Amino acid sequence: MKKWICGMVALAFLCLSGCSVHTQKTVFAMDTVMDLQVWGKDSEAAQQKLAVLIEETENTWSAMDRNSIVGRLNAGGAVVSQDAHDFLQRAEELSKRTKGAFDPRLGGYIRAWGFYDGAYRVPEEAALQQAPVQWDLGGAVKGYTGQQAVQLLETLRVDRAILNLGGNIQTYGEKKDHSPWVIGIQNPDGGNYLGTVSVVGTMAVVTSGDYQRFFEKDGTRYHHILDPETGRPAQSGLRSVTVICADGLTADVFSTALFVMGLEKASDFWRQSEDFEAVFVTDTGKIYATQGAALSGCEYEVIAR
Amino acid sequence: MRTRTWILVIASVLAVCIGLSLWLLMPGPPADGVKVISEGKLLYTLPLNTDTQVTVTTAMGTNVITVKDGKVAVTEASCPDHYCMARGYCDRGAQIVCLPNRLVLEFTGTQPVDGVSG
Repeated sequence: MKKWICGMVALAFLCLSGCSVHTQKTVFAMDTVMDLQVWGKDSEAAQQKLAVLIEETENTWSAMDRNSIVGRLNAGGAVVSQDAHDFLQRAEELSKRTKGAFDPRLGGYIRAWGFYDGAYRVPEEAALQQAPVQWDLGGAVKGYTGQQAVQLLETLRVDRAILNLGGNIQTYGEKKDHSPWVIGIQNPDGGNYLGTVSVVGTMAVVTSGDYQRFFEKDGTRYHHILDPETGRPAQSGLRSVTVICADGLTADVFSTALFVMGLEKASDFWRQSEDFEAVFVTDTGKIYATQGAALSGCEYEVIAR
Repeated sequence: MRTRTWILVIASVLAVCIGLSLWLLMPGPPADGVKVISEGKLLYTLPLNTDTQVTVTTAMGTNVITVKDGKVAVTEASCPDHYCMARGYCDRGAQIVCLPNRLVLEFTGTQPVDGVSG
């Protein structure tokens, strides 16, 4: 009898420890929708902690909140924590690497176009020239959140996770059968996805597209990816850029920067880099992918080293 | 006779090639249903093989979701931007989202992807 009970307890224990619990949660934050899927013993706790992390990150970095770090920096200055300082510094470094194609100080332009309050308008050239230089980390904060989420998951008993942070995909760990994560790339024209990229392990897949946020006035479409040189929506011949990178922040910043650069400059930038791959959709509907991007499901041209 | 055999052989090889490339180029199978999630709560799971229309009304606003010919779309919305309607009819891919009204449509079933970036 005793043996029997021991056996049952052992079996139950084995079952519990072997079981990989899967939980899914939808969160509305950062003016977008986020989908969190986590597998593992601590999946419930992980999800709650992720939701808190997302909320805190939003409160800390929102450009629309006067009390956020961004709000205080724009009002004159702020004493920030080491973590916040590191983030700002990394955003600056990445901006330099892109030679300013990504700029974390476009807040003045973004306000001029009405992307903060939704009162969209086409600003006069003079208004753009007079727009104040203000911090806005909108092009980096979702990627940063993905990277912070990975660091959080590493401290918990989590086997794997896939987070969709408003179109930014962050994977964590490997799938049960060790097959790659398969990530679709949204068709800029709407409808179904264009094709898929396969990534292994912990990776970020981030897309910047002119279809994500825009308004139309007098038949012209004005999207949210502003060219730091002109303060106007980037007209680079691209409709979307997807960046695949081990680091979420880098992926987020580069997807914006490559969109602004256009296909040719972006290809050169990739040739000088070692740490990412990219997929481009042009405004004629052609698809290009760098040599190492495992793109399938569609016809495309390969960009070689 | 010989010519005819050749034509037949070439035609069948071509047919197989075209068929195979079409199959390979298909971006995965369509979903079999769509989950209607409002303010984070699952309201319905609508099968895509049945034409139907549901209206979701919350404090945020109203969306009309239409399933037709195996595809789904948001056909009416009270939101100011109408991004949710801009997606049009589709049967796979990323979630269809109406942010102002906190509405998410998510495909179920035979989706071959783990997530969609966009």
